[in-house]
Amino acid sequence: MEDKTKRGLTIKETSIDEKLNVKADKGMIHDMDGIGHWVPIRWYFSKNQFDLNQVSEYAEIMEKKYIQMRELTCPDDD
Amino acid sequence: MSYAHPEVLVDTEWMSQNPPNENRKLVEVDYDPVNGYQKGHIKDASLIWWKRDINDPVTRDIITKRKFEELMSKNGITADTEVILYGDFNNWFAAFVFWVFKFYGHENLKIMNGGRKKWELENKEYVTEEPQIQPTKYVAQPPDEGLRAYLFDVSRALSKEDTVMVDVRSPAEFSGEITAPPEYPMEHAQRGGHIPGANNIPWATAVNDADGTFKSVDALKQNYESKGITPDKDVICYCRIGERSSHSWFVLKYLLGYPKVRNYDGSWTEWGNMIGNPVEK
Repeated sequence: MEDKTKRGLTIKETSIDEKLNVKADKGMIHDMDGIGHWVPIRWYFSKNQFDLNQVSEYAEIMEKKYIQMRELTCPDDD
Repeated sequence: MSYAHPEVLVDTEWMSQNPPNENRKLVEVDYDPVNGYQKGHIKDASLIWWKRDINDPVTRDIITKRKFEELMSKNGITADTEVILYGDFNNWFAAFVFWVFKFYGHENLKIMNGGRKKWELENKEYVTEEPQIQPTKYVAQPPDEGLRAYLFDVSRALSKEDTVMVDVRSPAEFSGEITAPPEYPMEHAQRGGHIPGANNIPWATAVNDADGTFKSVDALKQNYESKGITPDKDVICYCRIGERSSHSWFVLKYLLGYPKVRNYDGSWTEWGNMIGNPVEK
């Protein structure tokens, strides 16, 4: 699974994303103060441990988060 | 052939043999102190956090003379103190702070060649303890506006043959392919490209890739003169937020001794966002 909002970000390490407990490629994004934060770019779900439905659930959570962010900044007129 | 002002550089070995004392202060300048200074720094180095300490919190500007004096006092620096700067990100932000120190007239100022990168490559020691600093009473000089280019200086330069612009960003930023790398989502501009007539001489062409130290005088001369950046010109350097350009400003002014070099700290995040400014791709 890939977070397409992180496309182009340089992969600095591949390690376990503790939130999902899955191996992930990670990069760093700097905030307004210049502080770097590790962010997952893509996750490698093992077929032995996860089925497509489980992965889809994570994908939907990610999608929901970005819809919420969009609503905060550019809400629809209706 | 040596640099025009070799006294502005110290190397890592010299630094490890000549630790800070009452008259010599070592200051780490970081863009990201959480992943830099706080994880480990050279013994007895204090910290200047580029974003918080050297930029005005309200306006987009460098700190005022009074705030600069407070910052120097807090770091235990007097007007006579020898100050050595080094930092993360290939010394970009250390160079920016060097520029601000010079703007407010601090004389005895140096950069540790290679910064954190070289120190770490040599496996030299870091500590996490912060030094106890006795505050001083620092009195700065009036700002030297000759070191700084503002938007109107750059606009005026568009029609002046003797003023040359050095865009020190990457070729992809210069061509407008990107406005900022994805790592810095806060530093984008509305349009990509460069200031019309600018020469693209990336900051990295002035350093040795292996350890981040500055290239030799001959290599630096070749780097700039071949692109028409000669000492008889009025030179303005810019990048995205003014830190990489202060690195090239340092090279041109102190290593090559060019008499008239200014840093345009508004840089692309000002020029590329300003209504009415022409852009070239």
